[in-house]
This record gives sequence, C-alpha cells and structure tokens, in this order.
Amino acid sequence: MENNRITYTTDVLVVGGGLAGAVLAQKLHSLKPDVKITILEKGYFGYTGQTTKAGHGMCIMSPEAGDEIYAMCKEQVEHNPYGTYLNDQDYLLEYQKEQYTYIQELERMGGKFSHNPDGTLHHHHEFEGKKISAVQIDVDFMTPFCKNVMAGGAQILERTYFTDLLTKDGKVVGAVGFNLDTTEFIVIRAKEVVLAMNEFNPSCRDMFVAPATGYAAAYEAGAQLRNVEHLTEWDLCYRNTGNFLYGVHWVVSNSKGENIFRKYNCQSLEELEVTLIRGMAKELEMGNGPLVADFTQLPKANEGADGFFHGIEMKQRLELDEFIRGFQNIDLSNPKPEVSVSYRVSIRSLRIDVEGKTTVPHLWGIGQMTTAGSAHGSWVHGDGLGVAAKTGLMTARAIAKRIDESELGEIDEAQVEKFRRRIYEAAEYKGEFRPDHVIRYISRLIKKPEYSFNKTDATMTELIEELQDVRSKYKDLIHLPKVNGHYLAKAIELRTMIDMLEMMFMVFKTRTESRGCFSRLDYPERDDKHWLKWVLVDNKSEDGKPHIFTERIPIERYPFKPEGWQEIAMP
Amino acid sequence: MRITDLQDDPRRMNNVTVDPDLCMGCMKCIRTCCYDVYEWDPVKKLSTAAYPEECVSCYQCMYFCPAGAIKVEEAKLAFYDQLYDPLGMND
Repeated sequence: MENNRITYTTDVLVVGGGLAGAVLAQKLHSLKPDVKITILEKGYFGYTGQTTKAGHGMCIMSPEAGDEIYAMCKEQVEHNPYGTYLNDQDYLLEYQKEQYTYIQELERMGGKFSHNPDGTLHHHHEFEGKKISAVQIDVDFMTPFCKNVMAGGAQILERTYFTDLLTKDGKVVGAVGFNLDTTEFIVIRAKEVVLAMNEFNPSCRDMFVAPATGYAAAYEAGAQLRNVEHLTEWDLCYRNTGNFLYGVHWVVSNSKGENIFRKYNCQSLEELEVTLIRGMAKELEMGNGPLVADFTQLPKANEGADGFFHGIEMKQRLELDEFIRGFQNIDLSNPKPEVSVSYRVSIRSLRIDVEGKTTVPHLWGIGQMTTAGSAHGSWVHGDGLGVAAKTGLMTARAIAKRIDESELGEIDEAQVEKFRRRIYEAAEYKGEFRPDHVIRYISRLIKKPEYSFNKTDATMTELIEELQDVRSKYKDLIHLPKVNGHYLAKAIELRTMIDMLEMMFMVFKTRTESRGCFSRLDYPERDDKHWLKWVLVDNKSEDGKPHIFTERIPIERYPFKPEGWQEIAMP
Repeated sequence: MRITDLQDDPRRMNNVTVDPDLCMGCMKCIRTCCYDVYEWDPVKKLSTAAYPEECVSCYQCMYFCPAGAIKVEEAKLAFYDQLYDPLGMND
C-alpha cells in the first residue's frame, strides 16, 4: 500500500468542493487575488455535492414582500419546528438582511437563475402564507463557479479524503487526509481552514446519507457543536421503495378510509409532526393498515400555478426527473399508493458566529454543516443551497479582512503521525465483515421506534450501551476486502459514525423536553421555563468523554420572545 | 449485536451493473457518483460497479452515460421501514 507523504502549503484551505466551497473560493479570490486557495474534494470538483443532485432552489425574500423582514424572522423563530425559539436572533437578522441581494450577487458571479420571459427574476411562494419565496436553479448551477475558481488559479486536490485537523496550541494549523485512488497520505499546512462539508446523516441508502468525518475532526480540534438535537426530521415515503413523497402527508389514510392527519389532530402542513408518526404506527398496530396516501383527497391541481418545477430555464432538471421516474418501482397512476415514513437524522451542528468563525482560532464553517450550529440563524426547510451560497459569501468577506494578519503555524509531527496511523490501521483488521456492513447495521438500529419517535431516557441509555459495545468489537468484526481508498474511508466513516451517534444520544438525553421535531416519549411537552437554552458539546472534559453543557439564550435582548419570557429571562 | 444483524437483506439493496460491451470508458459515471459506486479498471480501461451497496438511486450515472451501459435496478423494499418492519409486516 502506498502511503507516501505529500505536504502542501497554502493560505486558505477549503475542505469540500460543493457550492459553499466554490462560492467562497471565487468570492475570496475576487477580494484578495494574491491569497492562495486550496480546495480538498473527495470526488471530482464540479460534479459532487447536493447542488448537482437534490437542489432545486434557493430561498429569497422577494421584493414584493417589501420591508417585512421582521415578520419573516418572526415566522422563522416562532413556527420553525427545528429548534423553536432556540435561534441566535442576532445571526438571523443579520443573515436575512441581504435575503434578495445575495441572489443578485451570485448572478453577477456567474450563477444562473430562472427568469420570466420578460427578463425579471422568477420566484414562487414555496410555503403557503409565508413571506419566503424561492428562486429556481438547474442541476448545472455550480459549473460557472467551479470554472471561475479554476480560472482564478486555486489549487484543487480531487479524490482527496479529508480526515483530521492539525492543531498547535489550540489553533488550527492545517489538515490531513489521503488520496482515494493512490492512498497517498496528504498533509496541508494552512493559515485558515474552512470546513464546507455536508451534514452528518447516518441514513444508509438515502440520497442525503453523509459521513460524520467533518464533525469528528472539528470536535477533536476543540470546536463546539451546538443544537445537535435539533435537526431530526421525518419524510413520507413510498412503502415499497422508500422514495420520498413531499407535501401530501395530510392525506394519509388507513384501510377504513379515515384521514390520519385529522384523526390525530395534526397541525403542520409542511412538516410531519411526531403525533402523525405515532398515529400512523398506532393504526398499524391496531390492524388498520396498510396506510395509503389518498390523492383523491387532494384539491385539484390548479393548471399553470407556480410549482416546484415549472420549467423556465430548468430543462436539465426536468429531463432528469422524468428519466428517474421511468426507473423507480412506483406506479404513478395509482391514486392510493402505500406509504410509510423515513427518519432522517441531519446533524448540522458546527457552532459558528455570523462571520462563520467556529470556536477554534483559524477554523471556519460554512454551508450545510453549520445550519443548526448557527442556532437556526439561516435555515428554512428546502434552502440548503441558499445557505451554502450565502454563508460562502459572508465568510469570504470575513476571511478577506483577516488573512493579511494571519500567519502559518508550525505543525506537530507527533500529531501528524498519530493521524497517519489511525487512517491506515484498518488495513490490519482481520474480521469477517466489511465496514459498510456495520455502518448499515447501525443505520437500521437508530431508526427503530424506541430510539427515534418513541425515545425515552431508558431506551437511549440502552442504545448508547449498544453503540459502545459495537465500538469495542468492530475492529475484530471487520476487514477490508481490498486495501484501497474506498474501504479505508469506510472504516473511518464507521469509527466517526459511532462517536458522533453516541454524542448525539447523550445530547438527546440531556434535553428533557420535546420541542418541534425533537420529541421524547417521556417528556412530551415543550418546557420554555427550563429549556430555553442551547445544549453544547466539546471535548474539554478531563475523562475523554464528550463534555455536554448548556448556555442560556439571551432572550431578553432578542426581538422575538415566547410567552412569559420575563419569568424565564429574569427568574 | 448479533452476527445475523450484519447481513444485508438483498431485497433492500440496489443492483448496479455496467455492461462491458457498451462501456466506452468515458468515466462520466465515476465523476458524477457522489458515493464512489464505480471504479476504474486500469487493465480493461472500463468502468466497473465495484461498490453497488453504496448506491442511493440518484440515477445520475445512468442519465449521463452516453453509451447506455449502466443499469440501476432499484431495491424491492425500503432500506429500513420504521413503521412496518418493527411489526414484522415486511417479512
């Protein structure tokens, strides 16, 4: 096995070549043309990331909504089921200020959006009765940014798998990884490191599955994670394939034709509440299955109305959609397909401030991996790409201001050697299974009802013990069928997945209430009196275990407050 | 953890194949796949579906393959069905 070492030196290292990383690199180059930028990408730059797969639009505050920015922020704070009232409202207001102009800036940088035939920017109301609108993009949206980044002279290290952050005296001084094709060990010294990776999503065979490597590295470097508990979500899916169905959960019916949404007094037309999930499970237990999405209960589609895919300049997206539908085992003519639900754990909890700074000097975070860590300052369901692009722009400006004073730190060779050994140690494992077998086992495990929608303190304790048991055994259980980049990466993903999930359930246990999409069976009510707090995790405890603590939210100086806030803020 | 828990249910896994007679080695599938399903065969100068277990049914490889050499057969059952599986209704 080749694990020769190659060392690179750069000014700004961007880990992740998706939309956030590309926008940041282009903007930073335009502000500071002399700064050397290196991008690490595990796939091929311009081909990977959610923009090319899942993204259909970005949220904006349309000009018609006028200056109702406060009304929109109020919606975000009070009705967002992801951490209701747990926003960093300073961040939120700052972020939403440029809710329209950032689209114009992206357009100037080369981005292409849907336009009406008269040349105006096309946008549609994505959520009924809300201030927010969405603009549409095609699957090749990222291409111009990537071309501009390369034309600007950035160094792109493709097929390079990032694994760890190098630190010296509590500051980040670089990163290490390896090449997926050659398995060469790669060390990068950098003045500033930007993490621009995906969320951690342990749902195997789901389009959004993503490893925990980035968070594990940030955590190990000393960064705080915030709101780990606040991005679990449910989607309705076809029972046979598990493919998602959006926006129709309110017509789910049992075999008697009863509407489950109404039967269990559900409210939200946008998100699947836990009462609906528990109701669906109960109906099946009572023998009222199968559950179907009864499309006959939907109002007749309004011809010509604004929808997700109306097709102005979205030719590739539409073509791809039609192509995919032709291959899925879904009978589109069936008005009552059988449905189930899919649990998605999306950890996006790297704590950042409004400029994108993490709690570790010289480490920055942008895009998907920070949307809960910024205390929901930015995220609207369906706006992953908007957050990626906008935080990329915001952080590029902040780095440009500081990069002149920043200096290259010395790297600790003992630490480099420790990380190198940890990457390649999996080659020695002699077990029977592959690393991805264990990954899929854990992925199934955490989705069980008792660990997801019916979790209690006792079941979570049991799960944590199970995860610890897996950790103690997996090295004897697995082997790498071939010692190559793919399986080395899988072994690392397995190790970090166990660590992150253990941390996640420790945080779940800490928050003794239910709030929005975070729900527990043993504490079913929201408890503003005790839990208007952020739960934070870092590695600063002496016993080596995750250090979990809370921080009071300064609700008294925020514009949007829950009822009875005086009692909460000033006990 | 029991050993049987580590085995995959074939009904829940995608089947991905590259027809070596049709593949012309353009590497588009290798580039578009975010989950590293494909691997380059340096001897035959062709792409192979080396890690089909990673497939998430995004169909990008199949869509972009200029030769129509790729076939993604979707799983028969959802990977894990939170509502029906615990009741044994998918067994």
